[in-house]
Amino acid sequence: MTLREGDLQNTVLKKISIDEFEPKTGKSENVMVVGFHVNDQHPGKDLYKYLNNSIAEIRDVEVSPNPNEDGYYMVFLEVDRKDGVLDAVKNIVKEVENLAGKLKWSVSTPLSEELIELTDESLNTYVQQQTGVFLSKNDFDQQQLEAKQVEEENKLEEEAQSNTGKILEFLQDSNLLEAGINDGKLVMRDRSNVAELEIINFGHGPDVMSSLGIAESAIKTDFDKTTFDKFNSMLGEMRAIPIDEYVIIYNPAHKNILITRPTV
Amino acid sequence: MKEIIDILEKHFGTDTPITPESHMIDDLNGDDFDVVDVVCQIEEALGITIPEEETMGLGTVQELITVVSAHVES
Repeated sequence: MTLREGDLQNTVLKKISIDEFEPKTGKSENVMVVGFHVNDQHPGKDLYKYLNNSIAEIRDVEVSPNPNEDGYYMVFLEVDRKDGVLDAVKNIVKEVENLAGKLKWSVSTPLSEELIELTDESLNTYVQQQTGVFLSKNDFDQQQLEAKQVEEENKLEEEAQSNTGKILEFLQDSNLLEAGINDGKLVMRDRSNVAELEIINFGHGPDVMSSLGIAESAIKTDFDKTTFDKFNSMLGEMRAIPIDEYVIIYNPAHKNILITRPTV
Repeated sequence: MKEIIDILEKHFGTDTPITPESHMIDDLNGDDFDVVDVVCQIEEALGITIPEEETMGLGTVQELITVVSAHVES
């Protein structure tokens, strides 16, 4: 019996499975398994026959002999894992729509906890399309975590770069002859002294202090007066005060403060 | 009968001779998916439809031929 347009309407579930099953025709690194869900074996066999005659590049088609735990029969396709395979799958889905009607397809994949709409760009993140590469959920999560960490480090690096300019500008009211920042350390020099301080944070006073959990009430009284006299001499109208293990540099004419720590 | 054997040979290969006594799972190294596959291919080739309940538990080639023949003759 020849299948006609709309013959499988209301029999195919709008959920597609990708990479949730092991391929039979090769290794997962090279072969992707795509699964359609149908509500009975008869439409499953029809879909099998239809896809078996497709001109799409399909390595194998199978229909499950028994329903899964949700009561659905599955029609599995195996396709080559390669760049653009997701577009190929979308074209196959369009072919299926000839029989099943237009559906709002969503994809379940082991790399995502949630179903993702087939048209959603983020699907490219969760469907592995590189030949020879197939990450487990754990490896994928680890990779995503590392990528996020690199992104955050880059962001911090950019912020640090941006802060360098702001900090040097902040110190312009001081008596310093020279100030430079290198590798997170501030080196200050006036006519007779050189001091090096590790930069901890810079920004709006209350914000940066609360981010470090310090308060003005924690100003130390047992600090090294000679060192702070030296700092204050170098800073001119600006001030250095000791709070906990930090040296807080502030400018009375400025809302920002620079939190530093003496280098060992 | 020849068409059925041709489909089975194409599906399972010709390394193992296929006879009416051959069991599709035990002798031809198939599984339940393969049985459904060959039934689908036979249905398509012969233009017949075999109800699911008649294909459940199919094992040997002879059992397959018997089921298919009933639909070809009817």
